Amino acid sequence: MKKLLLIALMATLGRSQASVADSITLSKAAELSCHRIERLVTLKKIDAGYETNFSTLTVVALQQTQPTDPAFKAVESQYLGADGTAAQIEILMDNQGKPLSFNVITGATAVNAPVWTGADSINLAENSLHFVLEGWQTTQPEVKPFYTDMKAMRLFQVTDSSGQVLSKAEFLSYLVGTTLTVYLKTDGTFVSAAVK
Amino acid sequence: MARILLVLPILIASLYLGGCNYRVDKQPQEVDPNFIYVPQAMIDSASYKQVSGFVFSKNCLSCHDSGKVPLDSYQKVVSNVDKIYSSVFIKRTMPKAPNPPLSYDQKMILLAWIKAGAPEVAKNGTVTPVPTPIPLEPTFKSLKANVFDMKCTQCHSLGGDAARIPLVTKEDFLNSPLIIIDPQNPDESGLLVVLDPKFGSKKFMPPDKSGYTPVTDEQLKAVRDWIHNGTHD
Repeated sequence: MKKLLLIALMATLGRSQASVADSITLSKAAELSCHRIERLVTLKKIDAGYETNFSTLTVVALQQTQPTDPAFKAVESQYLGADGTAAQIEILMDNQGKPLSFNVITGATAVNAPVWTGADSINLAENSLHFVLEGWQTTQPEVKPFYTDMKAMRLFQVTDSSGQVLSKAEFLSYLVGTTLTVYLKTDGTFVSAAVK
Repeated sequence: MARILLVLPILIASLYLGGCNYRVDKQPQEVDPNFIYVPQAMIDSASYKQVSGFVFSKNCLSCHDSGKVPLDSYQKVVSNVDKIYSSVFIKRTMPKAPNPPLSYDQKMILLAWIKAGAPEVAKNGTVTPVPTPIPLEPTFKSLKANVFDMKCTQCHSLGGDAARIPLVTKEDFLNSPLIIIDPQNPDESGLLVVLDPKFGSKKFMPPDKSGYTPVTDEQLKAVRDWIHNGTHD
């Protein structure tokens, strides 16, 4: 019986390692989900609010029982509506980030969502994710836990000391308790990033 | 002797001051195109077909197929030949990024043609073999030559601004997680969504900042047919 359990455990570990090796990272899945949401808006399959009222994005790796099962689920939430609910969209992807399906969770129309003058909010989220995907390899190795094991991101509009409006994206990781903050100009160009 | 003693310091001083009398010329140096060696035989055999095949179609037409300085026919090129000479050899502002600069050989061909008086056919009647243009049709080979390499690849390849979305090989188009080609829903393929203005995509391609002109209706139709017909080689 012990032998059987041991074999089953080894087989399970072997399978999960193989699937991890073939898979993209959580942050890449998050970025691809943003691209998918933009496409769905362009094709008029979902409301444009998902592009303009982006508030948060969470991403999780799913347990696959078959190779055709979804490997990632990303959920974008818009800013809260007047009744306290938020419109959400779930994107299911395979282990290469190809979208498999989407599901819209109805919520009230966002209120108090910041108005962006340059890029859309989802575009700013996507550009912030580009730093997560590439910044750890070049300038900031401490970003790597957010690259490999990103958990969630939240987008804000802030104003710096000189009065310039900036996009501020905060990232959480499943691996560390620190927060990565990425600042961009409203046209999506990079300003700075820090892990604290 | 006294005279020598009197003259010698003056001589040394004048040599010293004269020797240091140089200046750094901060004016931009014009490139003399004559530094490019062009054999007379090359000038005699220069033709529009040759310069078009080796230079304009490869490095210029992705932007200059329309607009203020179109270079897509002999008449249009000849009417702009002074601008071409100035921007390539004097100001050196062309080709603009993301197009690659002209190679030495391309500069030779262009300069030989200009020196020959920008003829449509070679003075000596020589017909120089030039790359045969690939007709526009809905195949990957044709679209790569006539559309993708002209409008996309420079940015969407290693070292380009959009290298994270490579568009070099057919597999790049077919296997992208961005669903650049959607076999189930051809009309929802990302390639069409960004190339066709009817979708109103905020990521319309090529972007204005690239300087590339949008794809023509004929090019767009060929891309659409390629996707609908099963993305043949």
